[in-house]
Amino acid sequence: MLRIKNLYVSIDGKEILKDFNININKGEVHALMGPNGTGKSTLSKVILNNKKYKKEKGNIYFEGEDITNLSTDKIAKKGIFLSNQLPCEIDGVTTADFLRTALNEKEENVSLYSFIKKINSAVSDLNMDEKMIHRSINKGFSGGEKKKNEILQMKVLEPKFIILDEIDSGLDVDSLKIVGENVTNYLKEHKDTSVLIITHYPRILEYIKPDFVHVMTGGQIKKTGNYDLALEIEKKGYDTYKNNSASIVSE
Amino acid sequence: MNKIVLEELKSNIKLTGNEYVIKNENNDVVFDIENSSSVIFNVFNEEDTKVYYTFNVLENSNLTINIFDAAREVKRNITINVNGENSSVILNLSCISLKENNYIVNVYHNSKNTHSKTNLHGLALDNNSIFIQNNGYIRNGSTKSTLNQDNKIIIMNDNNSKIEPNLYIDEYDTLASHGAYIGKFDEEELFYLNSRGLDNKSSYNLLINGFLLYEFVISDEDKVKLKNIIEKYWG
Repeated sequence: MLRIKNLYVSIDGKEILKDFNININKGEVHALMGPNGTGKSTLSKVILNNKKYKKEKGNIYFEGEDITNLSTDKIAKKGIFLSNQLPCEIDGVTTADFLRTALNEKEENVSLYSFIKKINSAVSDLNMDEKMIHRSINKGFSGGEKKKNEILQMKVLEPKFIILDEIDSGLDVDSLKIVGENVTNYLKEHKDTSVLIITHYPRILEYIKPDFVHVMTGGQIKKTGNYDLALEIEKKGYDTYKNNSASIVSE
Repeated sequence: MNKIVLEELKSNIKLTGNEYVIKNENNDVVFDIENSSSVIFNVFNEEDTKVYYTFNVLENSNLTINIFDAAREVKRNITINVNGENSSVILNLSCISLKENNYIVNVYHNSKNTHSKTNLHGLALDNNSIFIQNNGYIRNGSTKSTLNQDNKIIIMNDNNSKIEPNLYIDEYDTLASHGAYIGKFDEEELFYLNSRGLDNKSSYNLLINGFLLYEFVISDEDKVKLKNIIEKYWG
């Protein structure tokens, strides 16, 4: 479904991703783990073609199509969704208004009734205050509320490929459970949907079980394994991989 | 409490209620807001305009002013005297400058426990300009008063827009704050909206409507009216 081949990315002349490769098939859940500053969040934004980052070399394919240089909105319309690590606040634009506009652009002429039904159901599933969707996007929201608002958007827009960038940061235990269960239920209802979970810790992986776990340091994947690899990292940390100059090692 | 909505179309003032108005050949307009009144004053303007407003607000009153300009040349000088205790004023002023818009706002807190919030938002299209001078005064003895200024100009190209936010505070027991920003919409905001499938046109529409109208305390019908005006110049 998503394939990244020999990708090199830099920002302000500094190389962040170096010969990055990954292949995620339909219905698979992949976890990408690594220490701070290794390029995980950069990768998530580069997939959506954030212009802040310069792609020096390499390609990104989605469902066989080269989307490397497609505009962000067109990539999103193809069904790729990014749940941001630090969702931005937008003054004056309410979540409800913007989601309805987004849904109308994706599926033409969505009736107000269908939209309200869909968003209210998502609000209830996430145990959110319904007033929040009529406030400016993420303005004055706590860290946990912002993350729930991302998952709310995911549920309304129904993407085929989901990137969860540190969805677990800023969430308390109860909220983590709610978010984890909502993503898991979504995947049960959308069996072909694939997920890339970017995280430091295996905590979120207890709720969203990965098929593959990748360890990333220095801008590339250094090791690939299953859920046990996440538990190994929890015990031993990332030091073993930091000095490993080898490229992909699969188990 | 009387709740009165006043509307001005072009320069004709339509009034109801007991307000006292003087308008002279210099386009000076004076409003005295009586004790215990709640007044909403709306101006939606698409004509070149030069007008000087003075609002005198007496005790226990609330005044909300919503002014929207989309015109080539606008000059507004707005003075608000919060004279009576326990009174509040909200001024929401938004504009799309099609050439040169100038605003001078003076808010005087002349009594105890008075509150003001001024939201002055301008959108300068092409190479058009906006000048905002927002002066807030808290007189000595006006204890427990609060004053908040939010001044922003979004420029779509480079131009000579300017904001002068000034606070003149002569009383310790008060809270006063101001913010001023001139620049473009944040690239990260645009990316966020794009990443949900909105193209640049739809994203800017949302950002501009939100920026200019979010604070306005007006009916849904009036919001639609203003959105249509915005679309005419931006969309």
